[in-house]
Amino acid sequence: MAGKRTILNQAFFRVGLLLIIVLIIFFSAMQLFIPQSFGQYGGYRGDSIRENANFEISFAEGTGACAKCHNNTISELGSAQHANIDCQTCHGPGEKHKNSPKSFSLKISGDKNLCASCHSTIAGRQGKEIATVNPVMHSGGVICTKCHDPHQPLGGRN
Amino acid sequence: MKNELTRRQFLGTACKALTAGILIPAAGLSIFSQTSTAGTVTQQASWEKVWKGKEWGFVVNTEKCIGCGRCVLACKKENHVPEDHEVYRTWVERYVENGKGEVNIDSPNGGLDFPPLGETDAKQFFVPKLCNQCHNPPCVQVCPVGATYKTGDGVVLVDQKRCVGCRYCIQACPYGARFLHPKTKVADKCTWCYHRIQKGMRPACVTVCPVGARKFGNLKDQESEVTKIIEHERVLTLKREQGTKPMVFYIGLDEVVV
Repeated sequence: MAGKRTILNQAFFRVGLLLIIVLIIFFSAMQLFIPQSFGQYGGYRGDSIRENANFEISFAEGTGACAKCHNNTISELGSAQHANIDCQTCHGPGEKHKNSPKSFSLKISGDKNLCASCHSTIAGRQGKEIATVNPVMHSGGVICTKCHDPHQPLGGRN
Repeated sequence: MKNELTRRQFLGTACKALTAGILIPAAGLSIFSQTSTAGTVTQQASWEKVWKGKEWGFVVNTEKCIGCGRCVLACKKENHVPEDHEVYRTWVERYVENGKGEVNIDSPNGGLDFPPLGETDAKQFFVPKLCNQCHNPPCVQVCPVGATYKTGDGVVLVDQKRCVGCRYCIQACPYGARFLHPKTKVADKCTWCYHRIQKGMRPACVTVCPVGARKFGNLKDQESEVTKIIEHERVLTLKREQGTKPMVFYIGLDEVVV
């Protein structure tokens, strides 16, 4: 009788030990595989917010940054048609140019397609407050800047 | 009998060794995790501080949009979306009535290459689209790994490290605002340039829009431009019947678009 009890006790001990081991493995795995910041603000990795907020910036904010060096060009715009447009709309992303002007040039050629993206006559653009032309009929392939100064679009070139 | 004892002894020793082998690293791990939790408490406080009193909103004026696509290009450049792939965080659609009561909708290359079409007097307009940063986002609900979430200031973000690219969220979005990034192979979407707005800048598309068709600001700020527009103008949101509560408000939206 006593022998049976010992065997039973041993069986309980073994099952109990196995359960504890399984639980320990389970919780260790949880510690290991669930990211540290998970659940900090909700069902997601809290560190991800910082990662998203720290992506690299390409476009500088507004013309204020441009005015530091190019004040003449900006005042030249005056109240011309393009005065309220951000420089980067045509010149492209300027953050790198702002930080190292010589390495990253923002000079653009008088590319017909660039002007045409706003000024070509297409369906949907009719009746808007913008001068539109058929680029081929209008210039016959001559680049826009030959006649127009983009900073004084209706002024014309001498 | 002798054999049995040896086996028991062996098992006993093995169990002890195994227990010790697991307990010691587990204890170490739990201490490690405690310290790291303590270290991130300040971070938690700071994000809640950052979000306090902020709820971003976006206004699109379809009456002003001229369909130039500068926003589409700027967005791709700012957010490193490959320009030679047909995926867009923001895009421009064109609606042209053909006179028979039908409406032709096109958005070639996201709105960068609109063909002229013939001149007609029929109704025609552009509608820029982007992520609506829904108040009740279905994409967040379906993500099986918690890789997409809504921040306290109202922007739905993607955790690029955690996303497994299962595309559930792409299916769930009623606006088609999500796509699988061709390079990173994880879900990607408009974040209203979260990296810019956290530094007090406007999203890239708003910065470059030449006609001011896109406005961005804080809806909790009574003085902000977007708050004033929503208070004074007639605005509509897209697919209201979906119950997603979009946070992009459109001025001059036509019935065929809604």
